[in-house]
Amino acid sequence: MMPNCHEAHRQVIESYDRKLPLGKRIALRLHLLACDACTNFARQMKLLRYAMRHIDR
Amino acid sequence: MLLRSVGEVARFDPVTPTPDDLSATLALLRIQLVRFAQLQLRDAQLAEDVVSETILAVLERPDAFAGQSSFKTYVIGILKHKIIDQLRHGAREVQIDPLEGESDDDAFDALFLADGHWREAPRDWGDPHAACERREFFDVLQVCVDRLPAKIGRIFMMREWLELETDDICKELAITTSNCWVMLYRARMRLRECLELNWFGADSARNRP
Repeated sequence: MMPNCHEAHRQVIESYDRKLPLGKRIALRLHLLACDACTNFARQMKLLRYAMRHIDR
Repeated sequence: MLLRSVGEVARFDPVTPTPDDLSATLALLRIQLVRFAQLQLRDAQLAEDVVSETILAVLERPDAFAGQSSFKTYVIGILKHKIIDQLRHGAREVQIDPLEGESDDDAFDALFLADGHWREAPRDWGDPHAACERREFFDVLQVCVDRLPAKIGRIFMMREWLELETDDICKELAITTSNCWVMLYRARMRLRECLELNWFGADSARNRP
């Protein structure tokens, strides 16, 4: 089952702190392929991690 | 310009100093070290102590950084180790309240309609590298991290700055993994909001004429 945006944004964040089960990862990927809003959200989270890794440079 | 802006001090990155100017270099770096230690430990005295230990460790082995690409990276590496030691030994004093930030959860849920769609779609923040080339961006990010509730901020810094695994953080702080995930969720959502408001948003300082 593909997650809706509310579920997808939680799973995007979860994926930064633990490995999601394979089925969830596939369903989330499919959602992101179809959803620009959640893709932007996922990129925002990616930027946040990247920035934190460089905050002390 | 006579006065260095906060941002300039924050980005100060000395080339590998000779032993002669080591203490002057460390004195300048100290400002930044204290700031990061404070962001992580949320305790001014602990932050000062751990930075003093870091500086002592550097001074005790003045040749150890030979060949390292960046003196600052080398010193911050030592600081991180000292902070991890501090977190381990002081772990029993840390009380994590899983309810901290709980009032936010309704606000995060309110970002979505009843059918699960975004009320307002997240915007494109652009290329991470581009944002990170602006030193003012890091000033905003530091302020945003500093504004997190203390415990949420500590957990987030452990995960994203000290780069500890979630399982290890839970163990150190003696909290359940699900509490840990909830705290990290709140941290990421708050920071997103803070960055949107103060950096990426149309009305943020970055975009004002």
